[in-house]
Amino acid sequence: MPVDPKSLLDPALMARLDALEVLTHRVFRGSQKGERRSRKKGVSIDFADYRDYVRGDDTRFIDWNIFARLERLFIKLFLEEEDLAFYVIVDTSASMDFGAPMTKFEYARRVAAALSYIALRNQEKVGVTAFDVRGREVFRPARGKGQLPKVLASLSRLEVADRTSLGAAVRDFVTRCTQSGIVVLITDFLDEEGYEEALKYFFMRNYEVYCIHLLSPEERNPTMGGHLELIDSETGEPQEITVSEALIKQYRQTVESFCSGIRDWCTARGITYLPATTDQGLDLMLLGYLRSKGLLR
Amino acid sequence: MSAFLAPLALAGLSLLPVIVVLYMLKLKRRPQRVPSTLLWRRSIQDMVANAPFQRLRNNLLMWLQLLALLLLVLGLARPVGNFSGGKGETLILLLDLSASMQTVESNGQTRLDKGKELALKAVENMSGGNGLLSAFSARDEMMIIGFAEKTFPLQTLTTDKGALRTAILSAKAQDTETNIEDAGYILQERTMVNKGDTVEPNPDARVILISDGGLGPTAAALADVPQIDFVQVGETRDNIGLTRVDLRESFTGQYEQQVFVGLVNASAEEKTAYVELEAGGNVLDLKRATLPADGTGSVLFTVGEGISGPATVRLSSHRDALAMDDSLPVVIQPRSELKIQLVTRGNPFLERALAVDPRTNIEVASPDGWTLRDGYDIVIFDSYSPESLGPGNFIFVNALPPVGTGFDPSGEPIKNPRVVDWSRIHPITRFCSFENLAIARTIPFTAPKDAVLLVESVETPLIAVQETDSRRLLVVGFDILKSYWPLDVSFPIFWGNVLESWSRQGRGLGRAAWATGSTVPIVPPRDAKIAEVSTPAGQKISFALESQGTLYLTETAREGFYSVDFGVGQAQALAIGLMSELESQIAPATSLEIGGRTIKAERGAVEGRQELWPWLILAGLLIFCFEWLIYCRRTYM
Repeated sequence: MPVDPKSLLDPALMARLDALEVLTHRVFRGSQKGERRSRKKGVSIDFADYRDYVRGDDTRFIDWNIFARLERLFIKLFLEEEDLAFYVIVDTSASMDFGAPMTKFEYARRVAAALSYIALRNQEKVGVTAFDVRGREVFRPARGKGQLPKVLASLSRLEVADRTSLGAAVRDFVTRCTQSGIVVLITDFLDEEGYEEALKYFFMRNYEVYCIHLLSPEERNPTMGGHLELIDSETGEPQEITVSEALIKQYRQTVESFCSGIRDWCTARGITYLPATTDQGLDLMLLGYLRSKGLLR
Repeated sequence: MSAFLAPLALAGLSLLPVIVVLYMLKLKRRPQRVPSTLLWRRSIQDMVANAPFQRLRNNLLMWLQLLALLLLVLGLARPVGNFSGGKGETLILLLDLSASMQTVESNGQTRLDKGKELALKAVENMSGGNGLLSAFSARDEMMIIGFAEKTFPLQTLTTDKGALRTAILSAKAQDTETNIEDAGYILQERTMVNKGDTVEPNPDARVILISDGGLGPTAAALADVPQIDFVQVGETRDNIGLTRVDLRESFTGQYEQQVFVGLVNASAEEKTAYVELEAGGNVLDLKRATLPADGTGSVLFTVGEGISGPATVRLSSHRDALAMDDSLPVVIQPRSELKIQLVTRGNPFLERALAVDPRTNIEVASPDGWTLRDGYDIVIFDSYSPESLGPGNFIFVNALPPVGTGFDPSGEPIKNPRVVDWSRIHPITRFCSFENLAIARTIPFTAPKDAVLLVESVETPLIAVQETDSRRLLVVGFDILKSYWPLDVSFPIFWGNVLESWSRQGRGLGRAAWATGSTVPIVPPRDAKIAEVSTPAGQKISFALESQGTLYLTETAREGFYSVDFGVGQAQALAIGLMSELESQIAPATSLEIGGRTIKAERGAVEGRQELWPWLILAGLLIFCFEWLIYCRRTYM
């Protein structure tokens, strides 16, 4: 449900986030001048290489000292600095509307707001995408601190809706956001179709991907009991169970196996996997956990 | 087609809707909305996969496999169906009618009733050519033979089920012992076929023997019958029976007789029986006998002077499964004098031996001028032989009967003959030992073919006996006075046996009782005018008296007192009783040992014999093929 945009970011938290910046482990090609080193040669102050002078080159970049020694004209090349694309993809499927003390969706929205704040503050280009059965661009990539209210407003308007289709969402995203950069995917991965096929689409654009796997404490350690008819929030399909100690034990093993399966799959493919639960404080999540994983510095 | 033996069980089909309803009932569960059931489903699947057993799920392949396996296993068990439409068998149904078939089982039904029931079932399940498979089958035919001591052809070979049923229902239990020998000859004829020079079993002939199994030694008659199905009837073995009665002179009192009664206990536990002897409506004596489990025992009654005539030996206040062996008719013969003429020139040893029996009245006569006169029970010729003999009982000592009797001299007298063998079972020589008999000289002779050689030496018979319808001849070929025999203990026993045996037989009705079914010899008195026997059933049997010889009564199938009227004096009584340990041992047999074969009892034989296993195996294999087809389609689609 829509919320007050201001509620997404606590001023005290914002103050602590001011000291952070987004850290990249790769060099991406940007679309505009920025503060990130680019693979392109440009006009920054960092020397990159020499090349022979050809007619039409800017004579200001001729290295006259070389000419004096070798009597040949060479042009000095400098590294280009471009902006960084930072995408946040938030799962808005119905399964995210669970959890305590706040729902997974609420938690994901706040993490997205905080990461957007850090990126915008560092002049990165930030884009926000929400997905359920398909990806929806809720905030087109833009840069500058002035974009923060718009980002927050976009996030506050998000609502949990339909079933999850991670594959369709990622496919939409990669076809729309062609500029490579950092992608932070916040989801519970509770998709009947699985995650493997979906995450493979990220490799098309050479994104640096971070997956925040968000579960509620109840999902990790269920406390329910008795003869239950579980209703799937997304499909509405019932599942009859009789909760027993053995079943709970088996469920925990299944959750553990599910998480470790995603982790192993991601790690093997260069994707950073970040498990989280909604009872983790945002401070701890952003200032501690994401820093330790190398997303923030 | 096969019938339902218990059609009431079909009521169980009403449980089918109940099972369906049970499957429709659901446990009421509390609904709970969860983010996703994905992980719960996986958990349950993992639990099921890791559990040694899982909840049975409806699966077509499983049902097909179960069905196929069921059919194959049933096929291996070789079931036989009672389908009409057979191969045209010749069925010979042997129905036991012996006395033991009168045994009443715990349900109140006699064994014969049960046997008839099974026989009717066998008739019902004959291939009548009117079943579903009638177009492909031939009709069975059946003959029915009842057997007890005699064989009763109840129905000749026929396909008429009505006639067969009538024959079965008309069968009546006999009071006699089992003897299947005659039936065995009929069976051999019906179950074997001539093929060229050889005789081979007829594959289409089958014998159904309905009996409680007490066939005794006569079962050997079935040894050559190829296919026998033994259908056993009977369960109980609780029975005490009177199996033997004998009347003999008391050795302690001169005017007493003893009635010896043998008993058998067929049950599996020790029993105590009280046996009473009753005559003229009065119980004369009561004896107690303890009988071991599956064992025998005896009691002995002493009957004082003046008691004679019909009497009954019975188990006192006793009820068991077979009632007919609980009592036994007996006839206590009146004591009578034995008139003996001894034709001799002097033989004190023989005179003294004969005088031991208090009944004897011995008249010694000289051979000189001797003529045959009536009025003697036994005439003994010592070292003398008359020129001719009439009917009667004659004993020759150191002499041979006249020419024409078959006893002919065969040479010169033999010195010191040595005894090589003697009969241990003949009534005259039983309890006698001739092992050390020393004889100075004997007359060698040849005995007629119908004579019994009682004592033999290497060279010649020493003692022989011949019994014909009108005359008995006992020949002792050596001189008693020139042997050590009078000094041997066998001497008085021998003459005692002779007097005992010939005195009772001489009166014709001498035994206390005869076994049912036996042939009873009756010697009419010289002055008999008629010979008429009245049976317990009221039937009168008349005999012709032209020959004045021994008459033979064969109509003795019923237990009870028979009356014999000779037209002079009072009619004499004849007692006929079961007296069969074989019949009193009513414990039913579970198998028969016939000719080295063990034939196990089975009820299926009367319910048709069409084997169903080829159809079951075929159906099972077809279902397996179908299951494989479905499996492949599921796998590759």
